[in-house]
Amino acid sequence: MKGKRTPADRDLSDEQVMKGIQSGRVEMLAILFERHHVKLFNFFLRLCGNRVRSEDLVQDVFVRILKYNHTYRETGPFVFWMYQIARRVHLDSARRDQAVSSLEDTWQEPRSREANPDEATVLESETRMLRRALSELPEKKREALVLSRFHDFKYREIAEMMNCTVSTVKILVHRGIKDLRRIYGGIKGGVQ
Amino acid sequence: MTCSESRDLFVDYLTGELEFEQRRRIQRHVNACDRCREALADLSEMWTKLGVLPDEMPSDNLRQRFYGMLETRLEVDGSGYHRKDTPARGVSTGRRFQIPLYPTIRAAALVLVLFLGFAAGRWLPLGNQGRNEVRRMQRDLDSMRSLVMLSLAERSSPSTRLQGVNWSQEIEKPDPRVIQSLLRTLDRDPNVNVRLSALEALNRFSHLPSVRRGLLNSMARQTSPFMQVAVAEQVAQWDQTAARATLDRLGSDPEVPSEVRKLIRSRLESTI
Repeated sequence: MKGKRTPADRDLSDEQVMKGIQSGRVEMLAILFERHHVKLFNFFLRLCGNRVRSEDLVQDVFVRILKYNHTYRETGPFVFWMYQIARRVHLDSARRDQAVSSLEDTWQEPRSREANPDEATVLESETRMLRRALSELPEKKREALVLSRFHDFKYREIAEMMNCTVSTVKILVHRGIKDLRRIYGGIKGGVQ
Repeated sequence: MTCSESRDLFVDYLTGELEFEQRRRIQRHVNACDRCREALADLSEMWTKLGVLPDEMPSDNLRQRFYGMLETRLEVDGSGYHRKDTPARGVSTGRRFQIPLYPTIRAAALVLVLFLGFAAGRWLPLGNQGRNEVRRMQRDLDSMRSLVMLSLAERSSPSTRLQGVNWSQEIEKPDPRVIQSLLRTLDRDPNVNVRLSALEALNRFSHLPSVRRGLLNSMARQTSPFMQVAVAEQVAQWDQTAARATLDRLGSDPEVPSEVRKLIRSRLESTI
């Protein structure tokens, strides 16, 4: 029966949930939201460095999942399809707001961390410097690195998402991590 | 393997995209080459540092906005608006109805239209299709709210669990999992505010036998006299004997704080 939830709903795979949405059970989008919204939020946060914008973009992803659910094919993993949407959402947003290219202006310190740097622990200080360094990486390197390091996508998958070759992704990740090390060293040196 | 070949594969080495044999070749090379060993150690240090970067949590605003959007979408779907395949009935495709120009006539016409609309909604029966649509929409909304409620009930933050309990207040016809979750929250939640909210939410469903059984059992399971009194007061609405037995026991228990015993005595005298 339409709209009736079975006890096993929470155990369904993402792909099965999408099938349910495609058959008209729109409310099942809540399952996908609860499973993925924190990861998506952090994906956007690492790309744009702005909490409010990242929340807007997460909302946009789920609106688009509903709108374009008919384009999803069960042959591929849902997460891959969702991050393809997430990338497009981010690109569209960046086009709308040119200021996003300068993260210096938008970067926000993480919430609920130590307000006074003197009292911050070493780990918190390192975390802050790392986030800062990540935000200063060029866009494509940052994106490839974030997808590879934080979302466990393979080079092949990242290449498909970014519409480039596997070699390009490897170069982006390799140079990204080297640049990050250099930027991080600079920030750390400046702080000490 | 040359230094250049080895360095080209360093990132693959870190991301785990190398075959076993290739990993072995890199390990052999870096063991023999100080500069490459140092370069790999630098990259590896950065890669590891990134791995411990914690996830940030979005604000509650995101969840509220998402469920607001979903609820609106379910309502729109349920009412049949914006559906390409089923245009809204009663919409004229011809010349639009014109309201008379004179203000008094316009006002009178407006009142008449409002009255007729109200009367039609109040007394005219809905068609089968309309009734089914409304029922389906209600089921979908209940289903979504149940899902939200169940997922929030498992969270570690008391305020999030409280939100979960509040979602259950919107459910018209709860499924057994919602009732079980509320009873579990009432019995086991470490936060008294969350337990009280669960009790309040259960009150809406006290006509259900499963809720009555759960509340009767809960009187014995509560560890705080304050909560025992609160549960007993709800039970008293439909089983005064059981409630009185619990309250009598609490009222004469020297372990129960004197203020609570005083409260119990006043309840026993006035309402039970």
